[in-house]
Amino acid sequence: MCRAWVLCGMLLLALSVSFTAATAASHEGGTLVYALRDEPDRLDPNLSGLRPSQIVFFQIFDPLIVRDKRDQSFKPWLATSWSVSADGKVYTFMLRSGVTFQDGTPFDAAAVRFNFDRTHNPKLASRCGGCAVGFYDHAVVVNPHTVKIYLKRPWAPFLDAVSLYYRMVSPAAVQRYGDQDFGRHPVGTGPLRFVEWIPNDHITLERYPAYSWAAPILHHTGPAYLDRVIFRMLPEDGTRVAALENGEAQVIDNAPAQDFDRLTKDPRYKALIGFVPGIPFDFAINVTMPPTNELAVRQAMSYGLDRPTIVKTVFGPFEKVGAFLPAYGLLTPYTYGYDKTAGLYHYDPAKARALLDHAGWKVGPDGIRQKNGRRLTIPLGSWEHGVPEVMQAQLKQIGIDLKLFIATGTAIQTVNENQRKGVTLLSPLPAPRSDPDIISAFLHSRNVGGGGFNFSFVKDPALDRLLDAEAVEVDSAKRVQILSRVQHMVMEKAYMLAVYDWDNISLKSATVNDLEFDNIGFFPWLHDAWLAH
Amino acid sequence: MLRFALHRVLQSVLVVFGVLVIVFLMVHLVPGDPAQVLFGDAPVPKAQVEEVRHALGLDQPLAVQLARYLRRVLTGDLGRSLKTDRPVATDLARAIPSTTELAVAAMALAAAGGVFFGIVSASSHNTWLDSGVSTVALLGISFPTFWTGLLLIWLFSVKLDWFPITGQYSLRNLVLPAITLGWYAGAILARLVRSGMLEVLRQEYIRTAWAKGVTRRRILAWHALRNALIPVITVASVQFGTLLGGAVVVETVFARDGVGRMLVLAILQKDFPEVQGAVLVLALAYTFSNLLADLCYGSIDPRVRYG
Repeated sequence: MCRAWVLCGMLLLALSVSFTAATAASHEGGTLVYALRDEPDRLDPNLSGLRPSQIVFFQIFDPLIVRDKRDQSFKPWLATSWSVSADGKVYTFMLRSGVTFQDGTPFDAAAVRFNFDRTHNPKLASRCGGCAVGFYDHAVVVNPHTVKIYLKRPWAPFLDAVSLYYRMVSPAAVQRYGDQDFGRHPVGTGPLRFVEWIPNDHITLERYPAYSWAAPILHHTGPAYLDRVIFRMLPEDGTRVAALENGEAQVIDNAPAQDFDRLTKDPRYKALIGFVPGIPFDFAINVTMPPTNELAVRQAMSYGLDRPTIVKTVFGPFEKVGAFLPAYGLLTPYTYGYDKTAGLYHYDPAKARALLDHAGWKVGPDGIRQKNGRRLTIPLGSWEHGVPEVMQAQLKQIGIDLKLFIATGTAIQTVNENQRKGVTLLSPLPAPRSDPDIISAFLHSRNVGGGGFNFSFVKDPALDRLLDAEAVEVDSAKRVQILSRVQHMVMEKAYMLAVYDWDNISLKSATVNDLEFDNIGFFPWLHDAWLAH
Repeated sequence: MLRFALHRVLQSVLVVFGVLVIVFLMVHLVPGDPAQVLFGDAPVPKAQVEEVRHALGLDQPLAVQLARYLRRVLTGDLGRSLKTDRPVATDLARAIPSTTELAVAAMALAAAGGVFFGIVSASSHNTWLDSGVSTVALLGISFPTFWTGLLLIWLFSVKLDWFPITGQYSLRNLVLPAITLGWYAGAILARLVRSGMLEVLRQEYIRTAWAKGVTRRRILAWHALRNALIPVITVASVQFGTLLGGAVVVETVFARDGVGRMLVLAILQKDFPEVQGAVLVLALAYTFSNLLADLCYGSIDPRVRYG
């Protein structure tokens, strides 16, 4: 009897092992062509922060830790564990052993120190936008598998930056190619290694066969399934879509809405959506100039927007797959610290009208409200048509006259910077970021003027205090509480007008399996992706 | 003739220099901060943007930047891309052959097609064939290039799967971009050849040839075409410059490498050295093809030389 059980057990074990092996074998092989709209600058995580570059080089370079999009917590990758000192200034990382760079050199604590030092070397003028510039002090190698990072002062977004922007490059390869040229000869520890880059055409990566340190949150250990990945740069929307349709590409990014609708109805293609954390597509409201210096006007605008209709009208095809949802708060639902209860202004035109009536704005002969001979006219800037026109029609119903200013992003930026000289503008300020500290960039008083992004021109000492507190709070639970207060305060005072979530819309061929975006919604994990043969 | 040529060459040098200075001022005066653009779409600390601006020399006064740039260009150094840090000369060395390939292929198609259909049209004057050719030529002149490109992609790549859409690996890759780019120039040439031929065919010496019993083919090819071709040569060399302009669009639609694509990307990124490098090449090519047209014309028509 006992022997029969053992036999059964062995049989089951053998079956499961052979099944796993068969799965790995059946998934292996093939070349995936991934079409990007934009051209990368340098494949060097220490020096570049440009998204198309990151899409490519995140496959070549691994981070120390990774954020799990299911619960927003940090999980191990090249570091097995980590801790932070009570004062929030010293982070200790225990590193995984047996990791080698694609050039055969070992990955260790000295390599981590090298990466942090290189990112923060002022001579190299790094463009890593999310790195700890101004906060990083130095790193200490305790032993080959332990490294301590010292910050000048506490900075709560540090682990988020470590999980995304600090990717480990090979010190030996930097030595070999030089700081400025390493970005054209990248060497990391990632599942795919660099083969060639023909500018304005393609970048080819291939499987790194020795790879066995995938983050546990990924679907499989061992090397990547794909033999090769070719990133092709196809700037024209119509061309990218056509390339997907005739099989020249299996994945395309920045899918246009009209083609998205048509292709997702065809079983040969599937939607590939990245849900983006950070600040949704919202508008900064100038609180220093009339008429938007009146709280009632700002709140009435927010109550007057029927956001479900806006997204259905303009982004209908995307809304069907759960993307581009109406936004009511300061953060998107995929962001760490997001507080749903801060979404105060659901569509209520009666309340909007009452607020304006009470504030002395009376409906004039043409339906637009007036007060002391002044019409309730508010300019709104944006870089694309669609949403502004629908907003204009909706706000007219409550007596607000939106004047539209549709121009390029840089033109709007210039108007923004000159706003205090007499022009006010509702100015679009979406920002994809996985750490909510991005709120400071838009609403802290230190970022008013001088190249800062506080285009609401808010100088609110109470809000500043909260933002300063969340930026240094390393206790996650306490930080979430402060962030909740921040979101409530900003929405109560209606410093910003949230409209919709701004997600990453891509398309893939149905032959591509297990391809997912990471926590920030823009970077594919090609390690798990495989092609049906 | 030599004095005329020398005069025209000097003028061309001046034009290229003027274009460089104007473009430099233009890209600097349009709104937007190149240092900020290099970081992508999320805001970054002011101090970090300042650091990058300083490292790239963008914090210097405009006049200093212009003087530095011109001094470098005169010594043959086109600088490095702000975005990729690659030498501009390296990018141009890669892009120029690609654009030349496209422009030459398009010109060859345009010249062959234009002359052939011009003759067909003229020799079957006022028939359905003539109207057909004229219609196709009119479409070529009226369609915007990017639309023609997308239409050809849809028909020949997505529906019929005859030609690949992107890439530059074989002659097959060149077919659609060359047709897209050459259609406009070909259409202009076809109309020109047609009207030229019709004009010549009414001349008395042609009637004499008919009377002498010369064959139709010989009259068309030998007596009429040769005379009708003189203005065509001039127009063709001017069209070559227009083709280079069209390459900006075609290279983007078909995702081909080239000077035009390089220029579009550089303008969007405010990558001044790359914009300057690409404009320099395009300006040189344009003035050179115009110069060539002038010299051709001068050698064909003596009145131009002494005028």
